[in-house]
Amino acid sequence: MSPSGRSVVAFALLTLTALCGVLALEGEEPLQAQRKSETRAETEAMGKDWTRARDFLDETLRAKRKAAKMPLAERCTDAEFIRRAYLDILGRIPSREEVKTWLIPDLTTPEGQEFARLKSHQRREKLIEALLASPEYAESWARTWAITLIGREANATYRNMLQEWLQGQFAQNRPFDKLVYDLVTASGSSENNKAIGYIISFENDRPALTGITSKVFLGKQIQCAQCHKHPYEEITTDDFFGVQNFFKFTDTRMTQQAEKGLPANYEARDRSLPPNAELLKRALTEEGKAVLPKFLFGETYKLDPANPPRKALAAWMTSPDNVYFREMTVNRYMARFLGVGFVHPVDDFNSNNTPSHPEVLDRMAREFVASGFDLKYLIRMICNSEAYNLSSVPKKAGAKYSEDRATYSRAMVRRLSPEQVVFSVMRAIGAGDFGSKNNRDRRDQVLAYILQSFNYAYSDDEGSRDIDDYSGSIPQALMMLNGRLLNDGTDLGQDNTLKRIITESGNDKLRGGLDAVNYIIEEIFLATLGRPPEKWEASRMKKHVEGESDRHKAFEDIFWALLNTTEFATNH
Amino acid sequence: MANPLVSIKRRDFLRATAAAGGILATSHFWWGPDLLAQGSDDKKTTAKRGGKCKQVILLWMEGAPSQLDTFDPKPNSKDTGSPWKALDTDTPGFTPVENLPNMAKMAKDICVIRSLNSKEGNHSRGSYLLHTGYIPNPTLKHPSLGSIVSHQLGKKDFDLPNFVKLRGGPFGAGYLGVENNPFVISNPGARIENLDYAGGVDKARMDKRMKLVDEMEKDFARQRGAEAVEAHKAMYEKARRLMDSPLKSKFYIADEPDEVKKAYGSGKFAESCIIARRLIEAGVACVEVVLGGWDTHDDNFVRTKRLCGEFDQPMAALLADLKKRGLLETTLVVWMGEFGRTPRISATEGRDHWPNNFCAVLAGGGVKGNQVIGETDERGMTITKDPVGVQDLFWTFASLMGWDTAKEFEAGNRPVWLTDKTAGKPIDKVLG
Repeated sequence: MSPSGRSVVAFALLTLTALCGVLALEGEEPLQAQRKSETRAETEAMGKDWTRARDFLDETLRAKRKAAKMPLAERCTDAEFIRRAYLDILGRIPSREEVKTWLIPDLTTPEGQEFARLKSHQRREKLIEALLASPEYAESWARTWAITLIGREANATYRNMLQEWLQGQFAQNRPFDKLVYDLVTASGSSENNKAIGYIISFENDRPALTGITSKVFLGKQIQCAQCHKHPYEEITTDDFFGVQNFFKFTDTRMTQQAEKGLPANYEARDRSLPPNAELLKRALTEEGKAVLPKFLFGETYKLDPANPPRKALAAWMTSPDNVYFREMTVNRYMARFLGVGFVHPVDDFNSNNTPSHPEVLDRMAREFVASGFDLKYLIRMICNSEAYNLSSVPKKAGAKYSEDRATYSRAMVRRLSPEQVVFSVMRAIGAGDFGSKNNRDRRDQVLAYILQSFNYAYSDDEGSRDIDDYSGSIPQALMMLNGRLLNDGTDLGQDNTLKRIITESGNDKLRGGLDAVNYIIEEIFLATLGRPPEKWEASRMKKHVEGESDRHKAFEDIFWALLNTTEFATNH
Repeated sequence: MANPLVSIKRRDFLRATAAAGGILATSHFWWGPDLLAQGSDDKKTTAKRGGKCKQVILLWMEGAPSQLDTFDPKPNSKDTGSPWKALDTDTPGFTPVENLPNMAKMAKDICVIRSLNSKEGNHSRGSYLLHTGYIPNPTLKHPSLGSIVSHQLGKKDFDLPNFVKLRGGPFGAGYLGVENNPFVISNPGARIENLDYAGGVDKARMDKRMKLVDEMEKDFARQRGAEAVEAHKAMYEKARRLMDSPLKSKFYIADEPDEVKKAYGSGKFAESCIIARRLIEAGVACVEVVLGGWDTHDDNFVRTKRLCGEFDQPMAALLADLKKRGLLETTLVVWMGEFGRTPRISATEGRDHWPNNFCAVLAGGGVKGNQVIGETDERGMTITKDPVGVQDLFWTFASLMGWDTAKEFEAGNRPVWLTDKTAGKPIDKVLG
């Protein structure tokens, strides 16, 4: 059942050999042929030490940059790193208190003194560990993964189920292979198994279920082959239906309508298998042709009641031997943290979209398997790398963005997702009691409303957009300009961060030597942009305050303006 | 080892393969040079031949309207269970159900297609197909009709968005970019959320605030590249232009004369049709109006009668109003939903999903009216004449508007075209 697919290689080589004369595809080889052969034992020997894979990543990227003569950006500042890590790991910016905790250690405590003695990279490592240990980690990644799996437009019931289940999985750092196995094989009722949220969201649309499962977990876009032979890949219509027919015996349905505040119930289950191979064939015959379940580029499924098709597919997908699965996962996380994957678009691996750094992808993917498919291990490896610690300011003025991008020579400037915007704005203005238990329901309601409005404003924002496309929609801008969240959040008539800052500014001890206006301006910058103001910025803002008869209005303007900058709207 | 910096991009690869026709003619690739040639030459000329149509109103019947209880009734078939009489008109074959008396009077201006068909009997898949002209593909988002119209015919320098959607629906611009996404008004007629200055903020104060933003942007743009900042700024400027525009009043019908309101009748859909006309008059390229509730799995007759009542008068009034103002000639009006419904009535007096044959109505924008295209048998089960595929419909739209169907777009990393090169052709009878 190895997915290496010898026939594919043979076919691809044949085609490429034929084309080479015309195209001069020098040294270009199909994806699978680039993979060194390795044994499972070799992989298992790697263990859980992320530093070796990280070092390999750093060294290889360095060598490639050198060969391409790309200068390396400076190491980013601590403030930049803190904001970046919060956004990437927890899905929101840090609060001003959090910025200060990590930026300015409290020397009156032993912990603070010890922290102050650490080197910069050790402090950052500590921060990464703290964020990975936060309960918000699970919440944020469950949200992100639910969107990847079923999209922002999915029915809220499905999304809530899926998100709740995923959050539990991420909270216990469930090995990713096991998580995916459970997701793909999920059955039973929604009361008992929220994992069915994924399968039921497709409402028995098997082509879509097949296409998304293959794209998201294997990086193989086989969907086109649903209607015709894939235009430039080795995938045939039979390959597509071969995978789809693993789901042939799976049905989902609503078992009870939503009523009186109770959610609807759903069920996913598998019909019993035909008793023998002949009847299986008959059950899978359409328009005179039988297409048996067949692993992508692999063997045909053999009827076995102990190993029903869906389980067989999930086992094959998540096997340590499955190159697609492990490389797709690593590639996705690279792109999430660094803005660009080794393969980009991230989930479209094919012989014409090969990895930029195949040796690193291969190594990281095998280390990921060796770690026991540990996603936190993967995050540690990436976040402690040199590339993740770079500034987004290019070394050479006017350097081509595309070149920096291909060589990881600086941090990418990335637009925040709608969810990151919502949670960052809320954090900045101090809205939503994130800790209190009795406020949970109310908090969830408010959140749902805000997310819904943002989803609407950002609708259709994914899939279509390239990494360096920053254009937004009018509803997005209108929401930031006139929406209640920002206007109430910066209105001193309401309880919010700004109001607290103003109150604090009356306290000499808290101000620590700054005058009140300077203190307020500095705190507004920390709350919104996660950094103190530059000198010119502080004096410009001060000028604004002095030019206004109502000082409170002036502070509202500043807080509001910073939330509407590109610096706030991007991860950089 | 392949050098990532020189690795050939797929698009270039495809272009090169097209040039290398001799080899590919016998290869396994699904499109050979013959197909490419057909796509870029033949269809280009057909698609360019109309071009009269400048604007579009899509009346989207969400939930899939029953063809039997609207434009293709079978009063002589017992199986359909239909209690309705069909109305006679002077247009051969045009016999709408008796619940559409106003539409019956519009026969001269409309073209009814009774032989539309597809294989997609699931709401989301059918809606996708009828909105985009493509079968859904989770790896790629095709632009919907309104977004294509916005992209092809929308004004570049304009206060209003080029595609306005009255009530929800998920279909947007896909690879054509967010600027062609619909501006969705979830509750037509009511004050639009976030379109007006927030309490305590007026234009002068907003100007001051934006000045602070602009100054902050300079450093960011200088250090980290101007692209992000410019895109951000452009979006805000467009939003502010809309906020301050006198054309904002076009979203509301308060200043519309009473006799006009009376002609369209009452109800949300009627109100939306008036807004649609106002927006078209103001120059918006495409307005989509949604009428939901057509998923009549039970109680079909009561519900379709009510729904016919909701769109019959407003749609007829809209066509007449556009005509009176000289806008119908350049404005295509389309009435359709995601598929049809089962001809045989169910035990609960319902109709289930039926993509095998269903109806669409076209008018204006160069469409030849006073005709019916396609026919179904007496029981409404089979198409007996002129079947029309959904892709045919989109090739027809392309012809009416002169879309650039030869242009290759890039989605992800793949080449893609506005209309499906693998299926369909313009419907000659519609173009006249």
